[in-house]
Amino acid sequence: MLKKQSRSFTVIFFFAVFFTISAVVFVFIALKKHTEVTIEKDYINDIVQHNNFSNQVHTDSLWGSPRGIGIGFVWPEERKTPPEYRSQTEEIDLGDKKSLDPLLILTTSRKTTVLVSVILDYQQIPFEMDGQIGLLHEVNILPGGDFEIPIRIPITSPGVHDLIVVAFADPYNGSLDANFRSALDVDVVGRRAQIISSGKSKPAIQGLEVIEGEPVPGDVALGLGVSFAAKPKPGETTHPSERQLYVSSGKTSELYQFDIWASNLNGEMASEYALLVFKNFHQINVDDRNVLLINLNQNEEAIINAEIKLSEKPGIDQIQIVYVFDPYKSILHEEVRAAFVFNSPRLAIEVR
Amino acid sequence: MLKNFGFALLLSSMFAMLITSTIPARANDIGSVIYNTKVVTLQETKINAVGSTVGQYGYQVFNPGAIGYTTARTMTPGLINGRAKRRGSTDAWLNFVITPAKPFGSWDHFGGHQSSSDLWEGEIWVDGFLKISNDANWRASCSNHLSGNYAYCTTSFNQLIARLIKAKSNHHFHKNNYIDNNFSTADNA
Repeated sequence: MLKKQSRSFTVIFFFAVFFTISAVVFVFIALKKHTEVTIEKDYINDIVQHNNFSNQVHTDSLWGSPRGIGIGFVWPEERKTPPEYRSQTEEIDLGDKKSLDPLLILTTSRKTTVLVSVILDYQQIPFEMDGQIGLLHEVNILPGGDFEIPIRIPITSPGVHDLIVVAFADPYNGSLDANFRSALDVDVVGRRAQIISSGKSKPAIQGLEVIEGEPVPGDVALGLGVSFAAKPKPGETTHPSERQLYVSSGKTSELYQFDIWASNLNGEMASEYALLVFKNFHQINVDDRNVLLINLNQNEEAIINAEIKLSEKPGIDQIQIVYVFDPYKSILHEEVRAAFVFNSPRLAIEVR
Repeated sequence: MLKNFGFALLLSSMFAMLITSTIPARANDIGSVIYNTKVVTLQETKINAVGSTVGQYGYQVFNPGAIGYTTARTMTPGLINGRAKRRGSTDAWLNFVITPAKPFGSWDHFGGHQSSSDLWEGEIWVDGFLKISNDANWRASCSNHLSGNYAYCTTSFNQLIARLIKAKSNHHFHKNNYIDNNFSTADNA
């Protein structure tokens, strides 16, 4: 009798544990499914897909095993030359040529989907990649060698031009997991160059308004470069470091309000920050300007109120800022603070 | 009775392990480099953090993803096979401290962030960030932006109670003619 009771207890206990664990697992999976979203390709417009490349595209494995995501330019005739003996690609004098035609180098440690885009004079423009013209070129880069793709960028007006080629990695990842979004990964890689056309020495654009920074409050020990903060509630005076924004939600076609927070905390020197705002990898204007210029001295920051119109159909809107230092200063002569192309975290807004 | 209870518990544990092993891991970091795949403890101590012992509370214990590197072909003499390495690493650790302000002790939480290169870089940057692991918000940051082949900075915050922390570093390398390399490393403690 006792043995029977004991067996029933065991069976009941086992099933109780079984159902409890199952319930926890199902809730976990449901939550995961909600936060791990793949964005449909038609949600992002103007993409040219490069599924097959022409014989002009090379995968050069001569440089050993490339790792990480790297980006750069090489002239077609210098493909086989070791990097230190190649011509520089930081300042390019086009003479009277009306286009720039280098090979774009992309390397990766693992298969990565990127959207490649060109920004000329702080405006995103269509360009030709491997014979196809488009605003965003989708490329699956594979490990195993320098991926060298011919690009052609139209340079039509004379003067000094700032060029940025960017590759947005993992564009269809619509994760709504705040921890994933806040990872501060380098998920945009870019390369800058200065182009001189028709021998003219004046910048192609001038006279943009510059926003001045203010000292970082003494009790703030955090600067994230350029990132986002939730709009403070009425009467709230918290610093953006306490309102960090990585994931949010809104209604279709709604004007979504947030703060852009640019910080030069612990930066070794002052510089002018040029910020370009992208929504779903398309550059958008902020206050009717295609570029926000912010002058930040060491340990200064700027907080800019911003709003954007969310998409007209439900989905995940991704907002990201790409930024560089010291527009129209010479990279070659080391007048810029650094020649890198930086990125903010990629904010995900669930549009319902 | 006890035997049956133990058997049921064992079955339940096995079932739980089976289920949890099928749950996919969190999405991988984007833009990262090839990482070491096991926990390693580096014997060489480059940075002597006051009061920290190698291996204790995560000091110089590098979890998977904490060390990354990339290579560039070069003709620079002295480099094996003509390959130059650009490296990045992150170390997260804790340290128990007693101060006059907190006589019963408290915990310093640290991040050590390092970029190094075989090449003399035009720009070698490291930006470091530190947070509590399960918190989305970052708490501390540091930067070291140099020319040369080495950049290091540390992040820290103090708490009465020890917390699990995540330290993250973004590494940037630029040299004329070479491709730019940008990648991240991260460590937990």
